[in-house]
Amino acid sequence: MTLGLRAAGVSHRYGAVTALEGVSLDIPAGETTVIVGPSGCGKSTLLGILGGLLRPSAGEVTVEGSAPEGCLNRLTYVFQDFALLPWRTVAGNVALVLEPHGLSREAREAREARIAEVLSMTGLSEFADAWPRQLSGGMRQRVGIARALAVRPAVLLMDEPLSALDAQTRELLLDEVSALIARAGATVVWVTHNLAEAVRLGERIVVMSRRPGRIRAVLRRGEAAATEAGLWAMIRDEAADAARELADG
Amino acid sequence: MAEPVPFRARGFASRERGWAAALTLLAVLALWQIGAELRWFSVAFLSTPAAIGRALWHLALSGELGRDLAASLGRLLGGWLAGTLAGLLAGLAIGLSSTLRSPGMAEVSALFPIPKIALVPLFIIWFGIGEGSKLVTVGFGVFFPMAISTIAAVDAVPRNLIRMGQSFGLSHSAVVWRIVLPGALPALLAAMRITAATAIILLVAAEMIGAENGIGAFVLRAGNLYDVDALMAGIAVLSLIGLAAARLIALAERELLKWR
Repeated sequence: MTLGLRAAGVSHRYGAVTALEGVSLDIPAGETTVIVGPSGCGKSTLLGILGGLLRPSAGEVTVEGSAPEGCLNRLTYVFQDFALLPWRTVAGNVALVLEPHGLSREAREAREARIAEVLSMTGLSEFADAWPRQLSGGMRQRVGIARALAVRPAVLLMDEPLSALDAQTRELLLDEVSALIARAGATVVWVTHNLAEAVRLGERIVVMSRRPGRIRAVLRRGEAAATEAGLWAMIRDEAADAARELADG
Repeated sequence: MAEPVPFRARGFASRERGWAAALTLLAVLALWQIGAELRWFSVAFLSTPAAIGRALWHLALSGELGRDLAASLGRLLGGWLAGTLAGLLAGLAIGLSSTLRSPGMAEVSALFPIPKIALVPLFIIWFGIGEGSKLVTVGFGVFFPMAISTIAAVDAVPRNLIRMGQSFGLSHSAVVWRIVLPGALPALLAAMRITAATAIILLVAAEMIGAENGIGAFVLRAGNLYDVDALMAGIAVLSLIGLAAARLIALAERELLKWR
């Protein structure tokens, strides 16, 4: 059993700019939902609202179901910029999110074991004592993923986790990350602007319109439009509409 | 014609060379001593390094230097620690609380520009000619730069790191202890370098205005007696105190910021 999310009529404004308008969306438990859309359409804003890091201007998000046993943080982020603490080692960064969960000797031993486990899963065992500045971008994101997995998340909220990496590293890491999250058994919401990534990962693909972001389509894997070309056609339409509106004044 | 590509990325990567610092200091002292021997200037107005060394030696043997140094170090350490701690706590409170930020910033901004030396007579009236007025002068002078630096240091901690901590369910106090304070630490240590120098300036001023002992009072006494050797020996001790403080903070930086 794990959690699902439901956004109902979610809107969000940054001052005079409406980033999201009337977004209603179901994130089914245990599935990987990928959110794509043109740049600036509010994908990351929506993810922030889904995870409780942004308060919507209107609407609400609810969680449905119950968190699996051992889950220490239900809604867990993996950040685009890694968000690693530079003053902590790789192991220290993972430890950060486990430290609030008990100070006893048993808790400390369990924490050490969990850190070793996730570092091994992500291929970072040899780098446990390295500082983040000593790692490449791909390695840093592995640390971000190890940190997220350490808390046995119910929902993984991935905010363009591979977009800060070069194409080669992204390609190599994509399969690895998707295997890791499949093993974690969590519900996944993955925001990306990379359509190939969306098609490879998404059991459901949510296509958003240009700003203000609305849901333009929700596609299931295997549907005719759920291909790179199909997604690209939709996003190109959105860009063309935006250009037309601009030209019309 | 083939020619090797010239290397053009020299400089802009300063490294510390301890021997160069020591050598420069020795060269300056030697030049100073030679200048005096060759009568480039009058030793009645500017002592020689050798004369200052002799004066220091006699002052140390007589116990006078020890007494004054102990009095000054006690005031310096007490005032600096109290002012730094108070400034740190006030800066954290102002930097982390929306409720305190505007009123706190207004107070700090209004009081910071007042030359603290001008307040020494007032502190003597309030706290007496004893230790209290000196401690308050140093502490008050250190408080404001420390508070302002702490506010700026807290503001400079990347917000994405704080949001990361919150997204993992860290409590407010855990975010402060594990993210805000370590993130602010480089700027806080840099501020301590400045407040240590400020503390020495204010200590000397307070001791010159109203104290019977301490290095500031000693320098003033030597000046009144036209004893330039002793006067400059006192100044040399102040310089050494400043150097020692900077060295201690550098050691703390090396230990606490080894991740950089």
